[in-house]
Amino acid sequence: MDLRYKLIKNTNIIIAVAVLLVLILIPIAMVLFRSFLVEGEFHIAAPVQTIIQHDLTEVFVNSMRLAFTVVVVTTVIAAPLAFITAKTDLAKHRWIDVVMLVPFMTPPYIATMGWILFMQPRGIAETMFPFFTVFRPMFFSFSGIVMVMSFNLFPFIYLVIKNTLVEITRSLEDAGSVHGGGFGYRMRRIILPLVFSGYTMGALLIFVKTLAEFGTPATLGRRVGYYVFTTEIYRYTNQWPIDFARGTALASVLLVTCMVIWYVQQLVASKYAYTVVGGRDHGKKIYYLGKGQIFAWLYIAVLLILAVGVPYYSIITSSLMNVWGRGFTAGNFTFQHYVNLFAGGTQGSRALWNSMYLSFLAATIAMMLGTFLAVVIIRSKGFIRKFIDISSLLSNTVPRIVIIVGLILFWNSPVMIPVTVYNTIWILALTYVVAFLPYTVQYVKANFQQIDDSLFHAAQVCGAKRGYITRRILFPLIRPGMISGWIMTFIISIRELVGSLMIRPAGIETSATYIYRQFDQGEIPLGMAMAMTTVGITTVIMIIVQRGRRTGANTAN
Amino acid sequence: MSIVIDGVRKTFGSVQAVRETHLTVDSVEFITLLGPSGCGKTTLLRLIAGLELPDDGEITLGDHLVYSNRKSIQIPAEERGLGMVFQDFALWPHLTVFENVAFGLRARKDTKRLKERVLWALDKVQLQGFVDRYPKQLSGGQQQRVSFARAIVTEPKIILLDEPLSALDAVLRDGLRLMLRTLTNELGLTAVYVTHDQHEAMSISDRIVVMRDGVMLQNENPEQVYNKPNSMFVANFIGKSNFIPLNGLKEHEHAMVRPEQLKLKQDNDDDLAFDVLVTSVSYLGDRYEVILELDSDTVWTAYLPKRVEQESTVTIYISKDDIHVIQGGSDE
Ligand SMILES: Nc1ncnc2c1ncn2[C@@H]1O[C@H](COP(=O)(O)OP(=O)(O)OP(=O)(O)O)[C@@H](O)[C@H]1O
Ligand SMILES: [Mg+2]
Repeated sequence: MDLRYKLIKNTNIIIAVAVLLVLILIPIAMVLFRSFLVEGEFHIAAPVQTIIQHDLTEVFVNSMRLAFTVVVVTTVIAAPLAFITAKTDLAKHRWIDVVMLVPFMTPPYIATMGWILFMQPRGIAETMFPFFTVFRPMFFSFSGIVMVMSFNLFPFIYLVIKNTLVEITRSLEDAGSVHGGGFGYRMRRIILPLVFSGYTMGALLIFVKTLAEFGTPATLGRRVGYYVFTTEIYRYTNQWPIDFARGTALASVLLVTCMVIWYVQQLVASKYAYTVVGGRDHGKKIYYLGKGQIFAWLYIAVLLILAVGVPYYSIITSSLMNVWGRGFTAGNFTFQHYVNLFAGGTQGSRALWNSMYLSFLAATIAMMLGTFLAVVIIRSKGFIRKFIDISSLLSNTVPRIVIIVGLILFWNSPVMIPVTVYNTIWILALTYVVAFLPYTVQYVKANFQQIDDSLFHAAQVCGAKRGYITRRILFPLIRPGMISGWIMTFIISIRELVGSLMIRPAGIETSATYIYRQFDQGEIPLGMAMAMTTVGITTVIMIIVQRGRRTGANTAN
Repeated sequence: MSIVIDGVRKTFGSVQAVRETHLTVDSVEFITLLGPSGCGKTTLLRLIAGLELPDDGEITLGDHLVYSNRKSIQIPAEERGLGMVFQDFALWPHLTVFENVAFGLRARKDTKRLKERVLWALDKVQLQGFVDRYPKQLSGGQQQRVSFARAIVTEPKIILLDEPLSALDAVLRDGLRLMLRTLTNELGLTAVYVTHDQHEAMSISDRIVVMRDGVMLQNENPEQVYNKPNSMFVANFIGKSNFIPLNGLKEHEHAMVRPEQLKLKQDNDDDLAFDVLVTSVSYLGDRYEVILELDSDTVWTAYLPKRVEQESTVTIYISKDDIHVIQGGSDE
């Protein structure tokens, strides 16, 4: 018996399973179960019936069409960029990767608002760059939604493609050319097949992310009458006239759709995954662009302007305007909206404060719980290990809005009402914990897996007991993963829109719901000041942590 | 402190990592487990350490029964009071050299004169000036010395070493090997040393245990293992062996001599003489390694003091006393 396994007590496994059941598994199961019930009876085809009966086919088709188009557009945007930064003389500019993370780290609803403010009548473009207004009809339509979502999501597929390209070593390609393959032939027969499996995974992930995305459809989609799963689920569960059954049915259809896609992804992954066997030669082939560099730079510049420049320009200028829509003139400039947020007593400052401490609480709980789960996963084995592993990462696979519906069903059910979490502010922290738990689990697990067993064995031979090993060896070594998990949970909790919007008790605002409502009601400068503040706070935290980690890394590890 | 392994077995699923083994290591003896990769050396060592549980048998350290299947005794690793040195050093990256070494004392709450004892251990491995460094700020050899200091700081009576030198380059290895042997002597340690390097095993051990597929094949001092291998496997695994077609050998008997026992001069009247063809000559500095062909089936290696002409025919003499007859099929 490997003694690592002796270190896990059965009670720990039971606790882990119980926690996962209550937090994640039962709520999701309730969504699924509900949707198969038609008037109290179980029907296997019930979700499909729901779609047909309630005329939800349009929603289904809309969602799939959007997801598919976004996959195509992100690929078209990302593939050339990946080639440029992986295989050409621009590869040495590592900062490009960092900058490309900015759109990815921007909450989609905020980026979308930036674009709407830019394009809408009397918007930023009209007052400052009148030329852009010719695109207005195009923007306020399906293609606008696709564009905004693609600019938000392309960095993901970019990194996937780039990482696989980087793996392809020089010798693989050189062998191709020595044996008579020209550039096009090598692309087709060597590079594309090797990139294919990684790409497919990335593409399917984008597909699911688009299906599950709420921010952009809720801001831009609703305005142009393009309805998808998430907006409809939100409408049926939160807006009058409420039809919770229909909302649940839609949620389960979304869930099933995503499950099917994940299943396809698993099939693809197992069938087409190549490991590029590393030889000695780890260099990569560089294609020298020469004069063509100009076009590469131009491409990068245009991308950055569209993905980062436009939305942030709109948000920042809007947040500094006294009255929105009057143009950005000397008399119309103010910091008052920011002052308001920090002044205290205002609605905005209360919302900000709510978000801060709920996120702090959620991040702390998620860190502890996620670490516990990760340790249990690593130290258990067989079926139970797989079960805990998959369950604790479930919130990453299941669309957020489905989990939220599940949480409402569960915590608002007659059994759980006495616990009185629902309808209090704590349900928000709980929602964040459930939704973002996978980050800590993944980071700590990855961290833990890098620790060689011999470090624990050495401690054991030195006379250390289980508790002492955990405290002096295990804990310090997984601390980086725990901190990363905390930060990530904190950052995305502050910005979480759909969860906060759907599950908050009446009268409670968080920064995200505040932004959403101000935007809806036309109080644009206030909303945008809040948007910049949350983006600013999260950015500062990330920078501080990066710094701290770099200096810390010089001593330990 | 002696080690007695009595009827210990260990399987992993369908792999018999260690088959039923009986082995006694005397107090203050330095014993080496030698064998090819996967033969169960590490597993046997970890069984002694308590990092694996045997399927059966008994393990006694000194007069302390630490494992017995029959009596259901299982003393965990942390209570066996051993020192152990790992192949990959296993230093904790977040602790300084001082804290790495002090770990065993702190873990056992044995912190009297802590600093003094840690410095004593570091002094033994000549690393006193390095207390505040982190492992990654040390060279490989220094790291391994720290891990040795960590193993001896609690003044154990037994030390287990799992290929402690194999991650280091050749020059460092010789120096550290001498240091290990000197220190284990000086501290009166019983040592079990694992390696797959026969030269290391020869030079450091009082006794060598040759293993294959979880079985102990031979368990004798280095000279005996080299000169009188008890099986074809040992003969082939350790050093080079030449097999002579002798009359009067029974089936499954093989007559073996070592390369340095092939001579160009006749010393005794009853020396055997063979005319052989020289097929290749390599100069090794202190001698010539010569490949000789008696016939197309019989190729020998000889270490000769002077050069012979390639493609020439020479006469080779073998003293009868040097011939060692091995029982067993060619694969055993
Ligand atoms: N934890 C384990 N689980 C399953 N099989 C194992 C485990 N540990 C060892 N084995 C198997 O037991 C056999 C003996 O392994 P062991 O590590 O003792 O060999 P070794 O002689 O130390 O080899 P090496 O020189 O490569 O270190 C091998 O076949 C190995 O695959
Ligand atoms: Mg080994």
